Amino acid sequence: MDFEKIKALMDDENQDDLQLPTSLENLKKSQMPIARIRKTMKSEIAIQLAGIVIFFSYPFLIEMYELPRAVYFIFMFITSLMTLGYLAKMVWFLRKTSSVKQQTKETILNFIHDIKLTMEVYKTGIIAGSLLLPVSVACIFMGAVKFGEDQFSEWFLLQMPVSTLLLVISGYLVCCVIIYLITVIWTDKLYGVQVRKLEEILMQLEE
Amino acid sequence: MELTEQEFLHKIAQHKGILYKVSRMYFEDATDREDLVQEIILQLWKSLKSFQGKSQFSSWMYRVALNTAIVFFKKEKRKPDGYAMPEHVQLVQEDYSNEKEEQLEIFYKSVQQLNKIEKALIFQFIEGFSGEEMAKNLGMSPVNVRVKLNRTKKKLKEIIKTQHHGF
Repeated sequence: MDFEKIKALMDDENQDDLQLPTSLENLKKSQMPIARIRKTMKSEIAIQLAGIVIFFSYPFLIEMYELPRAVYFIFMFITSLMTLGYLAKMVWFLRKTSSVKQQTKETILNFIHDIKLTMEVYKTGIIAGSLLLPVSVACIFMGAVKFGEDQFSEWFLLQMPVSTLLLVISGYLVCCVIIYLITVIWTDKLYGVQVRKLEEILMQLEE
Repeated sequence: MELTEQEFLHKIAQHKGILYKVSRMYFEDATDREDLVQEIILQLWKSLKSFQGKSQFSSWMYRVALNTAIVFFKKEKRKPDGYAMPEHVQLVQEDYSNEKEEQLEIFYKSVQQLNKIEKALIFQFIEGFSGEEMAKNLGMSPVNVRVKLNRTKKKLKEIIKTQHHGF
């Protein structure tokens, strides 16, 4: 095979079937793994911010006792701070990875490093925030006026038989494990697939 | 580099061949090629500010185009890009108007069996890039480039030979 000849044939080939756009507006949305991850992340930031607003508004829509409402807001405040922490990390990531311009290996390595770092912060934030969520949910349900104020106080001050307490702790731990697994699977589904594609290219560069 | 949208598109049109050849190297399917070309143009536009003008516009365009092609994945719903082309594909049965066209077509079809990095190496080699330039573009060591390129050339020749299309 003569590569010089191939080069000449490539140069001589009729390129008329390649139609260039007359405007950048007509271009399709980017389909690269980097772009797909960025798109997913942007949607996630919007959804999580909307979630914070909804969670903070909810107690105003139902009738609640003061103590459970206060506890709810304190826990939601902490959860929201954690959420805003990883959302800030996501925004940092989005700003850092807007285009492909460096060397191939450098681009992929930097992207994989940054996405993995962001994902670890995201997972930690989601898991930690979610672990506080059962308390907030309990506040909403048991703090509603139809349940009675005493019922919430007893629960909150752990005034219950040991067997019930053990049951509550076990239930909470099961929730923790489920939350952890869901978060890991969810993160992998949203971002892991694209990262693995890039890691495959990286392996081709190194092998 | 500061360019208006129309100036940018005009400059791209002047180097249309780069887009055409890179897309031909990476995909057989016309729609996939079209998607890749659009993606490259998008990336070129986004990266334009980073182009300082220290190198030639075409060199920078080659680099961004190849980087984009390497990290670009076509839509899942379409058939594979030919990487796992079935053996004994009857390439010669296709009707070509002349021998040159047939040779080029066989070359492009055989290239589809290479991985993305191998395609990038062969493409740059054909386009006359030096080992240093290839190493710089891909972020590999010059030694690694040399070893990989030799291996890839051998692999490509073998693909063409085993399918009885040696030329």
